[in-house]
Amino acid sequence: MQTRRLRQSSRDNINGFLFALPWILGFLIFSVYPLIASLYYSFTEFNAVTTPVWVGLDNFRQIFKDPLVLKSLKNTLFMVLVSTPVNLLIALLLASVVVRNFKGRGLVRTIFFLPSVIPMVAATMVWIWMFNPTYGFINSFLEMLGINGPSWLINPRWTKWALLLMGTWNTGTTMLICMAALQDVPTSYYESAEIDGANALKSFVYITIPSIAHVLVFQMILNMIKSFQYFQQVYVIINASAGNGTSVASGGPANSILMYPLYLFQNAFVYLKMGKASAMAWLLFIVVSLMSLLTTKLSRRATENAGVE
Amino acid sequence: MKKMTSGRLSKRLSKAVFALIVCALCCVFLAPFAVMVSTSFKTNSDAFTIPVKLLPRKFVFENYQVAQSVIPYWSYMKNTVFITVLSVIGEVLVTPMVAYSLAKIKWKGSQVISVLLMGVMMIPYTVTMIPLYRLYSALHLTNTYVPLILPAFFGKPFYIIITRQFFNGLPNSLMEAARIDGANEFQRYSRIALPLCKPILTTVAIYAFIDAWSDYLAPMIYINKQQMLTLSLGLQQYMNEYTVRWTELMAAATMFVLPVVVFFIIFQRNFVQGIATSGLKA
Amino acid sequence: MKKLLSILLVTMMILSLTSVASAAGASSDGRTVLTFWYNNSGDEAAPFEQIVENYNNSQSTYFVEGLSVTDQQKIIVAMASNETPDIVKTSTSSLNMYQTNGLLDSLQPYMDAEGYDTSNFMEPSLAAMKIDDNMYALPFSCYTIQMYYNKDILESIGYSEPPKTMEEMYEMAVKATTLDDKGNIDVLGYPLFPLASARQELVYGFGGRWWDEEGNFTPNTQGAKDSLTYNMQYRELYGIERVAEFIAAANTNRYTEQDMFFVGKQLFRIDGNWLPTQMQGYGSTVNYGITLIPGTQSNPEYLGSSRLECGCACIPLNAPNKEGAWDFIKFLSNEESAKLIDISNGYPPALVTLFDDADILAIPGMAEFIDATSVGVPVQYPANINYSKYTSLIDEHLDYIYNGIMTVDEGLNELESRVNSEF
Repeated sequence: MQTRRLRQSSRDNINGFLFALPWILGFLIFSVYPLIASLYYSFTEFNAVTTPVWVGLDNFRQIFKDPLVLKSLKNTLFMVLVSTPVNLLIALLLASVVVRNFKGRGLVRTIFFLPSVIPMVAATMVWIWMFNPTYGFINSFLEMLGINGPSWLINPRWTKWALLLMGTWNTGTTMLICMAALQDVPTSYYESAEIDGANALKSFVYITIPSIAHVLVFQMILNMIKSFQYFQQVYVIINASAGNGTSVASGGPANSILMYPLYLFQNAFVYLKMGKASAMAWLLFIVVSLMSLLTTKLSRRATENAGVE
Repeated sequence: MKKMTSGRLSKRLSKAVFALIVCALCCVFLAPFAVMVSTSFKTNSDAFTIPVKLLPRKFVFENYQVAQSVIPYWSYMKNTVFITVLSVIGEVLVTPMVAYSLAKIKWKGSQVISVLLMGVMMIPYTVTMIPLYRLYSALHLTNTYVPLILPAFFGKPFYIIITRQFFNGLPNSLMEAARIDGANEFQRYSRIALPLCKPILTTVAIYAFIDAWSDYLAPMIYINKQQMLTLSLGLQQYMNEYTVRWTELMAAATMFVLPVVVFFIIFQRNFVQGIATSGLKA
Repeated sequence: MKKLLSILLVTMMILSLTSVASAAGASSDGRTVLTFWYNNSGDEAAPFEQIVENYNNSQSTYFVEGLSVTDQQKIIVAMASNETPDIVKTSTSSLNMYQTNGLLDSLQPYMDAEGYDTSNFMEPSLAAMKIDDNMYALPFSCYTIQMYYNKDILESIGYSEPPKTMEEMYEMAVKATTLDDKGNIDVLGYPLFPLASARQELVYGFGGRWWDEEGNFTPNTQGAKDSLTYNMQYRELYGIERVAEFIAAANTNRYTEQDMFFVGKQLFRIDGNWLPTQMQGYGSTVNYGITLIPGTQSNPEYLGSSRLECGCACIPLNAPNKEGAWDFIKFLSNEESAKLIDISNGYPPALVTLFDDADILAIPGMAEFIDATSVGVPVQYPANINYSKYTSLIDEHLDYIYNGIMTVDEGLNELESRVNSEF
């Protein structure tokens, strides 16, 4: 009996390993190897063809000296610290709409979520067109309301707010998760609040938000991690507003939408400073890892609280 | 979010206000689609006339014709479909296998892998981008579709996680019964588990479809040859050095987006389910 | 398990097959295949396709495959990889960028070996191909930027001649600027659009330069300061936001039928030689003249200062077939091919013998542009590895100044300190 169980468990080990083998291989090829290689590269200097030459901490020294790194970091922090919370709030509000029971709720949910599945390139291009200060839909709509709209993607003071606005269109996934969390809040909480005479806003602040706080915090950090990697949209925007002669190495008006990953990309594939780009990538990786650690800690606490799994 | 009840009138009023807000929000969320489609039916001079009108002053279909000749639209479409189909095949093949190993086989590695799955999702692409580029370049695989398709055959963490969650929900008794009947692990997987997980595989397939269809970064890095580009990159070609051909671009974008919208509307239940079963993950 | 493995194997095989199929280069009848990339697409690509065909028919050693690759970032990456094309068609500023990154093969050895005669290329175009006294490309076209003016608007404000100095130009610009009933700019007098010209020619005309002869950066010159002072004086006169809005709109419909100059909403326009051809194509009825970019009252010799940009072809360092590439480059820059490119795409020639070619002179505006190359002051791009990053920094600070976030002095000082700390 003992030996059979042993044999069974070792067979399970082999089977389990074989079934997971594709992913394990992929993990080694597409994650472990690049991570190690990238760490090594960050201490070297090379372009795409030359062999890396060891330069020690030189790349990191360069990074801290580079004014554009600082600029790109500031821009990225705007997305992380301003845009993400705003988007989360919007997602929460949308979720609290679709969580209610009303006719056509499914359709409304579809409409709110649909933008999130649209290919990013196409969506960004549509937004660029809408943001056009003269011929765009947004400013002509504002004009109907008697507001003189700003030149969104052209004025460096407004570019990041344009990105923020664009991001609010894209909160479907977070909305669905918030919705799922809201559905789990027992209705009895609200009923007792109603008896106590709390109005909608009060019960939202004192009941809804605390009940789903763990989900919100988790989503906040996840979306912040995503914001650190904000790239595709600005890349498309800069390509679309080329014509100032410097399309490959531009960061938008006054470099105001030069995001950290974009500048990293330019260092790698335009300036061909692959070593410096790798060093920048590792700095980003460290920040993101720390935030991920935080999320796993939080999620563990959340699941403990919820008592599932 | 419930309103305090003070008479029927105020209830009806609050209902009306709510309906109004919902309608307004829907309009806001649909506006970009409306702008995209309407611009695609405008003449160039119409699009550049103030005041801007949401509806075209004159409907024209030319943009859809011209859009196909500015770039080799259908050959890009072919490339995109090719990449998408192979990626979907890869994901559908590999994802349930790995998920099965994690959920239904008791083995030492499953815990470790579950943790690693989450970790891998957090690695920024910028970190892996350069070494992988060098790797593919050394193997002479840039300018081929291998870098775009190959990763699909090794399973993406998100798909594995939602599929594992699904398997967790299946009763072990079925598998146990088959084991007693003498079926080996692979038979148990292919004859019992796999047929049962059709709904989640549909979800995975749709996610994989949309991901591959919209992929932008990988083709941008790996594909140089004009005739090998995908649609997501092809759209960029309506923007030349100085001008953007907006009306044609919007026509091309509409054609590009349409399959995704249709797929989403047909399979939206799977979609919502996928996100819900992933628990807190996004 | 076997089944699974075989499925995996089969799919891997399919994958590798597709990769082989797409990687295999066709070498027809034993000729050596050369790949040639040109950064033009659509109609502009036609002359290059034609030349490739001519070349392939003219000899039997090489077979050229032409490919349109317009994305500059892709070209750089390809040149830096081991899958580089043999010949790359480019222009001066990119040429400098490629070579400062060490991506190019020098043409000098080939030229010296066969005593290649360069006397037919005009002098500034040859200078543009030289980095550290070595030739890296051969030119076939060469353009400068000139000033277009709307004759009717100029007449309506009481002038019969275009300005010769910047001071004069500013005076005319203010007189010509009109606003609509909402206070938005209807006609832009001062040539603040296109922005690239405002950064370059409008500064050069004041004697300002962003770099010196050796290619060192000079971010804070008196000329740049003067130019920006005029620039901001004009912007503030009509409102920074309003001018910015006009420029944004102008940028959106640049080179379309609604182009601001084509519809008569710009008095001056500092732009390239392709403008007349485009105006003809869109049926613009604007009555325009072409003149040299003004100098200043105190330094009239700045008249006609303009960037010099040449179309040329070069050989990447990693090119598999350099001998063949050199052969094709010579063909590309011979009189017949150069003429084909210049006529189809409306570029002034780099070859002196084409200057009085009747077909070339028949292109609208071409005569003026060819004349200008002999009187103007050509400004060459610097061969500095940090050039594109420097441009990005300049643009950033110009944007601060244009938007009133910094004054002219603050902006240029800040630019200077950042350039000094970085490079």
